[in-house]
Amino acid sequence: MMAGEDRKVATTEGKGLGKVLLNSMWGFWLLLLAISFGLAGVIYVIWLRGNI
Amino acid sequence: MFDFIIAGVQAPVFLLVFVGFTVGIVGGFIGVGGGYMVTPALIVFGFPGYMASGIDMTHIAGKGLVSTLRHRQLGNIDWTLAMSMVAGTMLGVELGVRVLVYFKKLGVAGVVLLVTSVVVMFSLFLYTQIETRRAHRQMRELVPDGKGVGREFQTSSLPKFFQSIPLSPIVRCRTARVVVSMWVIVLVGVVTGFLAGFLGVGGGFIRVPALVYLVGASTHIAVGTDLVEIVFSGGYGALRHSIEGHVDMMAVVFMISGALFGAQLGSIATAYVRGPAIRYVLSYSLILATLGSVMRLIYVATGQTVEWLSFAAVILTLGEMIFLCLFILSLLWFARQHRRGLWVPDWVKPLVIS
Repeated sequence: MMAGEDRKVATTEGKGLGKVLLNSMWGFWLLLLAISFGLAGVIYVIWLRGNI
Repeated sequence: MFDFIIAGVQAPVFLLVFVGFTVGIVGGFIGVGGGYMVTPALIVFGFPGYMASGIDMTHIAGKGLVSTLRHRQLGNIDWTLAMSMVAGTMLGVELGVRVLVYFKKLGVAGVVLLVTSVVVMFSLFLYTQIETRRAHRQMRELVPDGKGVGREFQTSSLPKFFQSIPLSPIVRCRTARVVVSMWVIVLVGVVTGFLAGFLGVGGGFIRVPALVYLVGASTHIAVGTDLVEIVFSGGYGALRHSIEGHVDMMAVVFMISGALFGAQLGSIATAYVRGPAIRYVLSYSLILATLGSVMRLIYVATGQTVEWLSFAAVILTLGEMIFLCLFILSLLWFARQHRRGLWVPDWVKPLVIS
């Protein structure tokens, strides 16, 4: 197997949580929702908590 | 923190630029002004409600113009459709405002507004989501690799019904490749304008699905054509708010500086995706906005005493913008990966243009 093919296999057949989340639309949504609301929380804590 | 003298508040400049940028991407991609996201965000930042509305409308006018120019370059605007809708939209907005004034006199405007917005947005979400998922599933079965399909694919039978109404004059919309009675276009303009006027929003999130599912335009054309309407309505709204003194130009400048880049990026991103991808993002924005309205409704119904609802609404408002923005940027990145022949998830292939 060539080096390029090694790389291809490594990027398509993983079974990690990240790959599971990416391979399903629902999983991808959940991942993005978690990142988005996490970032929103950070923004709230840093800039808005005292203002509201 | 920047001291906005006209609005009389201090707000972080970074957040204004950030909101302008994120909503710019979303607006350029799904063809909405984004008032239902920006106004609550500005209120969260400390701007008074009337000022938030004025700043939002003025920034929408500028951003809408940039998006429209970019969509014009991409060939996404049907001018016949846009101009045919304008008169109906104006009439509808006037009717909507009059009905709103009637409910204000009865003293129930706030609750009626929130309930109507929840019902309208949730219904649109449900129909768009069900239809888009069906289209997505069929595309995955027909073309698993995502190649050999045009940029539009939709499964609704409503356009056929509306296009078969034989009322003269019949209009040929060349760019949209639609032949339909002028009265259908005017009626769509009146109904969407009525809802926009009644709910106090630009109405893009109502007009885009209406253009797709009732008139039969492709999603890309619906987005570009709707942005033309937004330039008109946003420009008029900006003028009215400016006359009333509801606009802090410094806040507008900061928001526009982010929105100019975002709107172009969002508009360009439409060239990389198929119609269902745009409709997915539209439906997500509708359900998240619905959740925001439900929270505000519960907050009002509980006498504004449940503090965590206020906090949740803030997180939802900001999280919604970031989520939609990230989803669009992800699709753009996946599309580029797919074009280079690199790995992308299977569910993405039918949604992006390779």
